[in-house]
Amino acid sequence: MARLDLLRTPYTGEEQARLESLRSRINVARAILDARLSAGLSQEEVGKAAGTKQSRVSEIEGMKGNPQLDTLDRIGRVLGLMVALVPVVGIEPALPELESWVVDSRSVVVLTAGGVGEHMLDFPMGRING
Amino acid sequence: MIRQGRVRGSWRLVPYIAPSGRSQVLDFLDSLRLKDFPRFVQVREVLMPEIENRGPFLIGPPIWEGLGAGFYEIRSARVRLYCSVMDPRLVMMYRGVVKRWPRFREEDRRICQRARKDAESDAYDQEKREYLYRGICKKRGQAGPS
Repeated sequence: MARLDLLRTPYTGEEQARLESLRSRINVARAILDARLSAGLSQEEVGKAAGTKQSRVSEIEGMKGNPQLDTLDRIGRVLGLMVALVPVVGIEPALPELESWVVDSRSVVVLTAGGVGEHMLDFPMGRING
Repeated sequence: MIRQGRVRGSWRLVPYIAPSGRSQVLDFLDSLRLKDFPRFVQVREVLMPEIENRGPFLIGPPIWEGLGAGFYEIRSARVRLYCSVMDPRLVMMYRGVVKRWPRFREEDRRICQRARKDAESDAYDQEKREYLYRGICKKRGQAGPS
């Protein structure tokens, strides 16, 4: 049976814009789900270890709701992850005075690490700060 | 549920296409794309890659649930994608619904059984069905898959 791309029709321009607005949620959902499955843990076990409910873990993996940073942090730590904001090439800052900082930040090297794969970011702080 | 170990690899998610060239599951995903884009994105960008990379049995509930008689569902909120596992490492998706009832409805089960019988027959050729599906997309004026 041939490999098909019927499930991956390209996003339209309008959809791309909507997708970008969901990008953080997608990244968080992927990171939590991937780390949880790699650890062989259920949502309930992660929730319990993080002092929250299974439904919170489910919401985050399901890109639903608006999880509190604290909750996200606790769930992440259970799975060996931490919440971080990283400068990303292609996202232009809304404030012009940040432009030079962002240009500098483009030299940031984002590395992938084993286990969590592309979602786990390791970057040299010195280079971010110039 | 198998919870130990990790088999990264080559599972494939394939939409079932009827002999007429129609695909309920692809039509359903298209409609989900229009009606609930974030849910569609979660299915496509989070769940599907995970199932393909890891295989469904390492994912388990609540995302991957058994329904009995060899049928399974991929779950995202109230969205259900009914499927079965076929060799080798292939998940055939038969039907998508937004669930408003507690169980796997008899009507859905019958439709899935009929589709599975067709998909498991020697006459089923995914490439030919895809060709038919593209023809239908063209008639509808849709771009169809690239």
